[in-house]
Amino acid sequence: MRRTRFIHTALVSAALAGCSLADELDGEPCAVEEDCWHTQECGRTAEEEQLALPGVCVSKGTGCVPGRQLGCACDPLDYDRDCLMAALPVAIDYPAMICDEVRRVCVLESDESGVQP
Amino acid sequence: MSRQRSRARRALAAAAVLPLLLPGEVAAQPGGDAELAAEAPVLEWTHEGGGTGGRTGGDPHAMNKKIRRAGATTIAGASLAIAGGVTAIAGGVLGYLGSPGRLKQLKQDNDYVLPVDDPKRQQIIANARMATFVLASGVSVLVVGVIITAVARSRLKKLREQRRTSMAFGAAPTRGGAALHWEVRF
Repeated sequence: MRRTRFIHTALVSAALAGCSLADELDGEPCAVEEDCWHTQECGRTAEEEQLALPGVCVSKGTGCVPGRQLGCACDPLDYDRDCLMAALPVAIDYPAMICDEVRRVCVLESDESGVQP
Repeated sequence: MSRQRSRARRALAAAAVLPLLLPGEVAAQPGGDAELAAEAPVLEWTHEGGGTGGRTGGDPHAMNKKIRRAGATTIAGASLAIAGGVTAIAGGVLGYLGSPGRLKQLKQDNDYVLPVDDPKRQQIIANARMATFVLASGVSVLVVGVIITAVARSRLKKLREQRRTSMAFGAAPTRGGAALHWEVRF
């Protein structure tokens, strides 16, 4: 009885440790796949790579966080996807972004202001 | 006197060549006694003391072999269980080395931001991932080992019990004749 309880506890602890680490890494900065949990990927856009900015650990198949990452899709009318807030923690110096209404992609605020008169 | 002796010797010799028949067996007589033999009543074995007359204990060598095999299986199962336990403990240690607490500590040491492309961070993640496999396989081996040990141990106990309750017969020639040794262990 005691043995069965130990085995059960060990398995549950292992499963919880895995889940907990995945939660811990979700939304954290990354540069390579190894920086994230095996169920996640490092969502890093080409624009971020060009500017040597880190990507974000996201669930596999997500690609990037819409409206929160440079070069990722956005919606200027959606509060959550208008590129005003970055997906990375505030401690990381991320450049200000804006949602390009024509391309519907997050771009650097400085670029957008330079294009417009 | 000597004639009497020679007669007795001849009678003994004749008795020696007579076929020893078991009850129910019919000897083929050359002189046409087959019909008489067929009509003769067939006697049934009557066991003394009303017993069944079955085998008692069987071959002691085979029994010892079975006991040895059961003992070896018990030891193998116990070894497997120990190996599984050690692996499970190793999995637990790996789990500690790859715990979320260590990741939080790394985050704190790095101004509350996880370092990117950092070997320490990657090692914590690798440890946590490996811990799951090591712990799961260790626990599986431990369970299998415990089951094998339990089954083999119960079989070993049963076989030992059987051997203890078995009977032993033994005949030995002595100076004045022969001695029959009968031993019952329980």
